[in-house]
Amino acid sequence: MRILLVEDDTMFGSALQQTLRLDGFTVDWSQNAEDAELAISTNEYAVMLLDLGLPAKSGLQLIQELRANNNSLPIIVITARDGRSDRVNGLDSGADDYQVKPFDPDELSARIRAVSRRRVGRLSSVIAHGFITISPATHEAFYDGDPVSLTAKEFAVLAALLEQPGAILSRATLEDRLYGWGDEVDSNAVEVHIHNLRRKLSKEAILTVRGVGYRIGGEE
Amino acid sequence: MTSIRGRLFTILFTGFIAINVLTGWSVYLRVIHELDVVFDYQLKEVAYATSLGHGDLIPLPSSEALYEREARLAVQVWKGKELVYASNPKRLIPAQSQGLTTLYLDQKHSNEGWRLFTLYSFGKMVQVSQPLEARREIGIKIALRTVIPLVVASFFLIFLLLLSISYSLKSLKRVAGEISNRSFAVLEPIEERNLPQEVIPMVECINTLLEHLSHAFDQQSRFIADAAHELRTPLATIQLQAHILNRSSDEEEKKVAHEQLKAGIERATRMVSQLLALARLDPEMHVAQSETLSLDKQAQEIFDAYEKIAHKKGVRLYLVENEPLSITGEAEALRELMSNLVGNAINYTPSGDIVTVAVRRTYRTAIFEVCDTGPGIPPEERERVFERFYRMKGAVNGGSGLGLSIVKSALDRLGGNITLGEGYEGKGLKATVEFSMRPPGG
Repeated sequence: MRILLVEDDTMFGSALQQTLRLDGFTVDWSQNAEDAELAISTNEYAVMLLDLGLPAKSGLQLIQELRANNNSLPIIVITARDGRSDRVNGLDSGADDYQVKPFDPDELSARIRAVSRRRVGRLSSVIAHGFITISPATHEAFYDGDPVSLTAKEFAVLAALLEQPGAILSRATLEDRLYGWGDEVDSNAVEVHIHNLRRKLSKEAILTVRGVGYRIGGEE
Repeated sequence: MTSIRGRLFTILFTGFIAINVLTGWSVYLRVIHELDVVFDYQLKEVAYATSLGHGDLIPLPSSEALYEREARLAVQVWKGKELVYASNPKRLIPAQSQGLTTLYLDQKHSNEGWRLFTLYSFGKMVQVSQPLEARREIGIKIALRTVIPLVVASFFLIFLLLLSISYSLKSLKRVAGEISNRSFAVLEPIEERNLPQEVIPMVECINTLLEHLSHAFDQQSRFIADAAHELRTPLATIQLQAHILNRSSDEEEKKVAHEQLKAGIERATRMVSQLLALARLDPEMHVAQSETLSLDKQAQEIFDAYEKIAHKKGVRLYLVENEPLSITGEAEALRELMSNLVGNAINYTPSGDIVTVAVRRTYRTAIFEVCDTGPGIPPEERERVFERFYRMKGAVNGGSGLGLSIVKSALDRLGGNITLGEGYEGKGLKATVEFSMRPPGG
């Protein structure tokens, strides 16, 4: 899952980026609202984490502008202000959730998953399709009830395909979800992950749609 | 404890008693004087009336009883050596020459005085007498009759006065009640309406005090709220860094995470110590002993302390001028002022560039100047940078946003002023601090 972090504090931003990566997220990091706008217009993100106290254009302003432009990107506000009015303002401007500093990293990850789940209209935290079941919260995958050990990237590819069963995702789209700015991407990285997934699950688990991309196999 | 009411009562009560006694006494004297004139005239009247009487029967001019009881007049008539009539035979008075006389007969009652009118007419001698005591008694009676209503009126007045005092003191009581209702949470001014004019200045003073308190209290609570907020980001960072360290698997990752955690803790520590410095320099705080401070020695000390830090960063720090000058003030304020200015300059100056520090004098002032070659501060921001927690766009990350606020607070304590300008060749920042010079030998 690719997320955008907008935070002006270098030390905090860097620590948060590392933490989220440890939890299997792909994290792009902007230090101001202008850079964030550019990132949103060029990439597709599952969630944006937004600090309200940004230099120049404030976080609140950014939310309002995005919503005014009908952008429905889920936003979690990360704020050092815990006053009631700060939370109410944030939520009322169009944020989906908020997290007050300091916070438990596991809680933030859970909130990110919850917000992105709601976006695709899923109720359960567990995604099941055919013989395959995954739990994004625990990073566990099961095939026909048996646990399967997957790497973080393999899990991310599988999760992306399971999010929208039936949809065909191109190689470029999958690369986008998997790798943030500055990540070194091998030209055949996605193919390698798909190959490994088929080996660990079953050959029919992921289908190749020639010339277009991949989709999840099993029941239609 | 003195009570306004008690004191007023004592003063008024003794005052009224004295006034009543004096009035009574003066009325008495006045009445006695008037009575003398009236009664003397009456003595004459009675004597003439008697002398004109027919035959030997001499009736008294008016009711005998009245004269006897009130004025106690006595009439006696002589014909030659023979007493022909005496209205009061017990009171016989020897013959006198014609006219008014006062007589003291030293008889059985010693010192009994008489007022007497003697008239010779048609071969008779008519004498009308009156004891002086009778006059005194009437005088006292009249004086008392005059004073009694006055005494009653006095008591009534005292009562009214006490009542009005009590009423006026009620507003004081209300003010006292309102003051006792004040707390740190409620520092509203006391209502000045319906207060006696005499109390208003006091209430105004109290209101001014309340206003100052309220202002100081607001500032404190805002500062505490800001401080709590500013500590959240460094603490959140430490929490994440500890989490990362916890989850790092190999030695190399652990080492990096450990370094980061250390940096995070250093930053939080710096933030806390900056907050404490600012709190100590708070204008509301007690001012420590003012002493003679040597600018050059303090500058040298700061220079020595920061040289290493500058060297580590690759910044060249120079103490270009250091004249022996002294000012008066608090040592800590001067130390905080210098270290924050020099520390800032080093922080913002890129590696390889220079920072200069100078202490020198002008005609009347002592100057401490720090010049760097960093990004500088645009003129429109030069006011705002002194605000607490204000960070310029593109400010060095991890700063507390308090450095220049500390400088300003320290300057308020030391009594100097600071000017921010451009550094060398329009590049960087030049901070010029001016102190009024300690007069030589003073």
